[in-house]
Amino acid sequence: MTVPPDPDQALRTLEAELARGLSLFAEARTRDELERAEIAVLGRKAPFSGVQRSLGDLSQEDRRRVGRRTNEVRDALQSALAERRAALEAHRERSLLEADRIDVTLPGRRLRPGSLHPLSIVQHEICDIFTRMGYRVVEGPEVEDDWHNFDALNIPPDHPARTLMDTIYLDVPGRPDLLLRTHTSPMQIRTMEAQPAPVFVVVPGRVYRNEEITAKNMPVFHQVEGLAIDEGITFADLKGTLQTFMRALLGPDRQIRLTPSFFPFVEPGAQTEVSCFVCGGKGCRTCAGTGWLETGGSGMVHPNVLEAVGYDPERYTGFAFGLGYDRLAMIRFGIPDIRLLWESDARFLRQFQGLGASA
Amino acid sequence: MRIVLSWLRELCAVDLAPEDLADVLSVKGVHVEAVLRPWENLSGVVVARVLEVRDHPNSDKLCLARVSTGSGGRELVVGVRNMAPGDLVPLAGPGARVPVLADPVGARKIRGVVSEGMLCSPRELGISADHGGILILPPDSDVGADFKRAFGLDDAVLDIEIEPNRPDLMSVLGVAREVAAATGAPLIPPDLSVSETDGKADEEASVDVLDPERCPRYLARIVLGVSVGQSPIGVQARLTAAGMRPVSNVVDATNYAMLEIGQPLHPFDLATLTGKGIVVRRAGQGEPVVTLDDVERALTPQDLVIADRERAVAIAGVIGTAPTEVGPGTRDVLLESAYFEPKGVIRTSRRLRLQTEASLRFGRGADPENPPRGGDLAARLMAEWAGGSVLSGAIDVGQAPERRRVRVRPSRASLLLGHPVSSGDVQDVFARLGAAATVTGPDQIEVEAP
Repeated sequence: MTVPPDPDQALRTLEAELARGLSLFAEARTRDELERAEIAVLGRKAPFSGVQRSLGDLSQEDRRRVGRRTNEVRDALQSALAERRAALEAHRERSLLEADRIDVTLPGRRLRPGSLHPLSIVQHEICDIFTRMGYRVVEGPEVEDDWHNFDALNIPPDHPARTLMDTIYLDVPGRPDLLLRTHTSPMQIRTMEAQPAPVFVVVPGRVYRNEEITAKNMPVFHQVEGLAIDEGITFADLKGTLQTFMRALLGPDRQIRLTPSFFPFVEPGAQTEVSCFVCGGKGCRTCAGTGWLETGGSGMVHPNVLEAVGYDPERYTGFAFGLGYDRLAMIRFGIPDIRLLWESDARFLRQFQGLGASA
Repeated sequence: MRIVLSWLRELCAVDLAPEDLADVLSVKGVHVEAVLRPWENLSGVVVARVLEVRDHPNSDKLCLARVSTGSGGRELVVGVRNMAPGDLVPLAGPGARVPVLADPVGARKIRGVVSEGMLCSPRELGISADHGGILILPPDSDVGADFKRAFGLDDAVLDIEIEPNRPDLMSVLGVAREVAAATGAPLIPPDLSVSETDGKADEEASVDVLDPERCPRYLARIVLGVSVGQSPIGVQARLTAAGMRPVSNVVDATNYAMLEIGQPLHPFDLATLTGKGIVVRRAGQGEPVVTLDDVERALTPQDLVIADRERAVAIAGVIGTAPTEVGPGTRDVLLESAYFEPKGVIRTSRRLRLQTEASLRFGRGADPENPPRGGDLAARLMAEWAGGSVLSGAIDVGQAPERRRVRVRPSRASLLLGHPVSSGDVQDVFARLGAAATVTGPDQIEVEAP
């Protein structure tokens, strides 16, 4: 600024700003409004600050005169601001308290008891039955490696069976062998690696396949794996065990049927079927008229698997089975669409209240 | 795998109804997922003779055909003019049913002229995907005969789920073997006879296998002087029902032989093979080929190729290439019948994301002793359907590996099953499956894998 400032003009500005500030502060109804008013009146770009900055350019006498008034105006504005701020704060607290006031005369809100998920109900029942038969329930990691999910189970890298299970591999730098387990069978390996025979375990859990989502199919589903290893275990033991289990789970009239099938980690391998518990085996829509429901695979543990974990296949034999229970749960509870099991819709889940509580 | 029942019965004279057969097989572990009847919806179509073809008065595209089924004539409006007076054609008169239409055929007016039914294309009859014209029937068909009966279409198809350990089931013969073992009905070996001319195959072309590990055996037969055209209608119908697309008599002969006995085969147009020589070698880094599906693909040294003296002409065990494809002008054919090692085929097919009938069979393990049989069968069918003469002998490089022998201990089997298994039981089961089993010691039986 080249022209020396006019001291009288500066004094007039001070008076005008004092009046404007006091009224703006008084009008502010919220903390935000008050903050905006503070910036408008006392901010760096406000006229008041301009006067303050111009003091240095005044003559010594004018500077004393205008300077004194400047200080008085600033003090007045600042104390008005502080007062208003305190008032607004007090008002806000009051209204918050008012809004939060608890009406102790209102009736209490009822707490709904939770319910077990239908899959949990079935899983508990399955594990319960096997526990009574002397099996131990163990769980394993859902992120597995190639060795446990495939190689140790007699499925070498180029085996055609690998293409049957559309595997989801994980994108972990330096670990191309990590995947989401495609079956619960890797826990056969982990269990046998951790303990000597005899082994009697069941493994419930989630498994993953890279498949499309439809009303009948999810890329995530559930299996229970069973493994029994000891001296002298036979295919007849497998059949008896599955029969006992199916009758305990689905009713005393159930029959089972084992037809030859192929899984690399068992030999001989079988497809496990149970007589339909909807129609009793006469044939209905659920079993596609066949009278039988496919529940999974089973068989005698392959000697290569026993060797992979250091068991002597000449001394020990054993059986293994896998059982998918999403479909069992759906049939049992009349659930028409598998996606309902995953939507966490409280209206759906509430319908299972009180079921499976004993487990 | 789709197994056409009439075809199966040619190789095993079983007289069970389709559904009963499906049950028998399923219990034996050959899971029949469905029994299909592709021509269930075909009835009332008869063989008719074309008397006259003329223009439609109100259309440039349509034409009018007068046909006769023996007594009197009728007039039809037809969309494609590929038939001539004297030709025999399938006629669906009012009330007839064809597989592609939900309702029976009726008489209706098309641009002012009443069409008393329709003449059918191969697609409309479920014979092939061809919809380019009316199906022209062989001149020796009986006028007035029922089309479905005349061409053996009163058939059923078993849709079988093949477990990866059972590549032996990926053929009509393989399933027939299983049916024979399960029911006791005799297995009828396929007719592999072939009449040859004096010329020798190995004087016409040559084969060099540079990677005998990946290609233990390569056999080539030569068929000269074929005329490429359509296969017989019954053959096209069987291929379609089995899930394959009829292409031409030469290509169909290879596919038909593959479906029948499980040996993947590939025909090359001999004239397009530089130096009339086959070289089985690894591909060069980035070596380009244009495969039969008209896609250009870059190969790697991991891939095994069939090459001529200059360039790759097929990806071994997976797919052929466009430049050496058998086409309408092909005269001479080199017929490949080889055995490729499974892992290599799986790797290449997986990397290229290209799965074919051939790669499926080689990937799961084809029969290494099958190449001569495949060559004989396909050569005979080719000569039968496309004319031409089969040169004597084959260019046969390498050999099948020695048969594996597996030892069985009946006591161990009893222990594992919890059910007594005698030596005699073991021999009986293997004998029914056509595997020689000999007792080689106390509690020891040796089985030769067939």
